[in-house]
Amino acid sequence: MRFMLDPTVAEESPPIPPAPRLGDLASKRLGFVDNSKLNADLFLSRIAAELAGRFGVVVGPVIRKFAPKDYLSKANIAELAKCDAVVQCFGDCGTSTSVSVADAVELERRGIPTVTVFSTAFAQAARNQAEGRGMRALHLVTVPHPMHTAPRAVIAERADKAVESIVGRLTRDLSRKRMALRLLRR
Amino acid sequence: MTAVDDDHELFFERGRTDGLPVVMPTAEKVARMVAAAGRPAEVIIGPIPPRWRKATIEKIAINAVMAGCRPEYFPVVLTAIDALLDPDCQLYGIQTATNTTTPLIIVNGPIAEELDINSAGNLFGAGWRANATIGRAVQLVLRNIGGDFAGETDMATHGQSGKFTFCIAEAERNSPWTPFHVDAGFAPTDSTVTVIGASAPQNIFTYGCDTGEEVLAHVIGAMMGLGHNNIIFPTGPLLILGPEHAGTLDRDGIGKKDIQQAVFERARIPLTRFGKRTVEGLKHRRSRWFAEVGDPQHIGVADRPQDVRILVAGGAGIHSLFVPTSFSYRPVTRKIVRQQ
Repeated sequence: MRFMLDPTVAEESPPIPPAPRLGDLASKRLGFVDNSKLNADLFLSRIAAELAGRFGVVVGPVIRKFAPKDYLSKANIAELAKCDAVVQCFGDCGTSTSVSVADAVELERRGIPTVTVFSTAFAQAARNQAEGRGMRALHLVTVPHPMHTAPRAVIAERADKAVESIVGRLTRDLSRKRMALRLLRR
Repeated sequence: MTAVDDDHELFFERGRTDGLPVVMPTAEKVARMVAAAGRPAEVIIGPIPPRWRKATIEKIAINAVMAGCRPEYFPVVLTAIDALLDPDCQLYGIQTATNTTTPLIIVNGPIAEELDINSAGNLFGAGWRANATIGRAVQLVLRNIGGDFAGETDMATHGQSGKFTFCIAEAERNSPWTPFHVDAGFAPTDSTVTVIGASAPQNIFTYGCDTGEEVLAHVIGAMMGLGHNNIIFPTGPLLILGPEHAGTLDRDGIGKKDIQQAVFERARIPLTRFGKRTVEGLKHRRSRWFAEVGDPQHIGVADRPQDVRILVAGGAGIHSLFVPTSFSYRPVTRKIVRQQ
């Protein structure tokens, strides 16, 4: 573009580091966000029960959005801010992903470690959208796509398989190796 | 290959276009566009989602030049972007959705005729520079400045051709009723831009209908199918009535408020047509309907009569359009400020 002006803007959002992770989960109070995608309630209830039963988590508020396109309200965020960490379910379409990302970044910015579950078809979009908000290290867990049309038994199975990863993302910072892999994947 | 051809290819290679060739943004052309902004060049607009980048008037002007805009279109482009950034529009959701939704731009007031923005035959089609390039400029801004790219942040399952351009005007002279922007509280002499998240229009062909009531029955019937956005989203449908239909309705004593009331009361789908999980989901997502309307056996396409929006546009013919809307909380209308 020798003689032409550039139509783009290179400036990126100021970086937002994720909140420090918890180390361990015993007696930690967790909040949960059900974004009202079909099956999110089933998935989350299974995860919450596992986290309580196996890891000693105290199950705090469960917030259910009216629609996946809706952001957490100020009152929701104030309630979640009283928790040690938050788990959100799930992004398996466009706005359930992008709005979960927006809420995750807002919670992390306030120092609340947050893990969001995305289906494989939307995980990279989540990373891109988080990066656009300045968060280059979004703590996410992936599950197979789709979730909202999967049979209930499959949802339960996927929840069970996701528990260890959710615990990992709640308790440990993202390693340099994992960050490098993410950059390579882009 | 000349240097200019090389530059065209460079714009494609760098992903700066919507897939069509662009006008080369030379400094001279951009300066003329900036001069027509009607506001100081140093004004910052944004941040623009989904990558939340702040735009200067000049950066938006570069994209308007690339889209093929004449400088006098530029205040419309800028006002459309202002409106898109209103939280009630929910632009970020519209951009990142799997849904076909994209911003529809509606121009009202004297500027529509001054700029020759088509409000008549084929207004959604090709062949009108103002419609084509104003809508395209907005989309290029969302892409080149906002950083919205298909498959990266824009996760549309199918998308729609309105993502190239989606800009119309109301046929105010051919309408028996007050214009859309006057209904929204603006003066008839104001020029305005309205934006709303919209899917592709669905044709309403009133074959054999003679009376206003028959036309109304077809309009309502067009909204009674399953799967359109106004079943799930409480935004309220947009009706673009052809001038012939508007004339027939008006002749038979059916005004805008009557149409709104009729759509609210009659465009209701029995819940028995939906599966159990869909009904559960509707009861949650359309909770205002179930809390306020008092018709728990149906789901309507609007929670309130005033959520049914009506404008008049199109050419001769017995056609109107049902435009399913989504994500936006309401249409956002802004007055266009022009250079004195």
